Amino acid sequence: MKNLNYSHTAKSIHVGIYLAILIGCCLTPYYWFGVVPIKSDRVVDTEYIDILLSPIMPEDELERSVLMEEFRWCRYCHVMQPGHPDEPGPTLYNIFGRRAATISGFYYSDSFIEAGENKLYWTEETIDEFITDPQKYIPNNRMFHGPVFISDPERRKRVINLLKKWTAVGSTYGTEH
Amino acid sequence: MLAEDNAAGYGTTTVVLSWLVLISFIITFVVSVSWPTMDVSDPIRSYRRLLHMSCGVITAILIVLRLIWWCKNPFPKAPQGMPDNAFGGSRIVVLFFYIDILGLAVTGFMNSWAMGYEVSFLGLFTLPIISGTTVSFAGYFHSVFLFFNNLMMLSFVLVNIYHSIRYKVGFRRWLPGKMA
Repeated sequence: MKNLNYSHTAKSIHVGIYLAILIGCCLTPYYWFGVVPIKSDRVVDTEYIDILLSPIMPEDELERSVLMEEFRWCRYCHVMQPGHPDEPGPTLYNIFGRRAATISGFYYSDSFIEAGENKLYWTEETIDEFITDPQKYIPNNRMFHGPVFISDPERRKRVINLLKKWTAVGSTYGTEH
Repeated sequence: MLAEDNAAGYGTTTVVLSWLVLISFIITFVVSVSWPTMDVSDPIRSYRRLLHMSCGVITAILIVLRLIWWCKNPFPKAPQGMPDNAFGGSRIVVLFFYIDILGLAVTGFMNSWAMGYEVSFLGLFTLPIISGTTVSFAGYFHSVFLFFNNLMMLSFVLVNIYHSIRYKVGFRRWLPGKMA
């Protein structure tokens, strides 16, 4: 820097400011989106109970609308096929009857693990309650970003109908994510 | 021979590289914000993702060349009326911006590999796949560099507005390779 008398103090302050901003940015995805940069080494058996699902409703205009709105946001974080424990959300494959927080490798929040330990199983009813207000149903879980609160019961019904189709065993919906 | 920077200002090589980085980065950035919220089954989404990766490859190559050139060349003298420390500060903003773009490129490639996509430039050549990366790690830090990028763009604007008004060095300094 022979042409510039750039003092060490000024340089340290300038570099320090931007390093501090960078460090702040390292925390932002966690606080904004609720995501973490690591997988979990927690090994857990995926546990199911037998439940009877209501029949799948025929597709209607409202379902097509939900597919492009609320359900699109579900798919932004969750995959519908098995595996992928390091996506932002755990796979929803074969979710009905599954005990909460039982996908090995996914880094669940403590509140979700606790809900699983308290025997929360995903049924049409529990999913309906959960997507009404995820933070009210399981406080302090990391699903708080985006339009995850679905107040309209008819739209929630369509989300659940889509889940039945997309996450069924052998389903090929959503093979690309 | 490549035109080097000197005390009076930036050489043609720096000017050309800086403009290329800016244009390539803007295209990559604009494409990037256009596809993530599209439906995953939409074929246009796949096309835009490929375009984003192709532009990312070019941006990465350009930014590496720009950083090498940065290291090999002296800083010019500060524009008349501008203190050396202020000019140095404005260069630090740009340097962090460049480092951020490099970080975006590297984590973007890692994210693509983790998701099972090849990173190629319009199918003409493909980068070798480095295995062992995870979506959670690469995706997280791609977001980190994106947030940092947005703040660096804001910093660039604020610092340059301040310098333009405070030291009366004009707004042409905002353009790549311009001293005043």
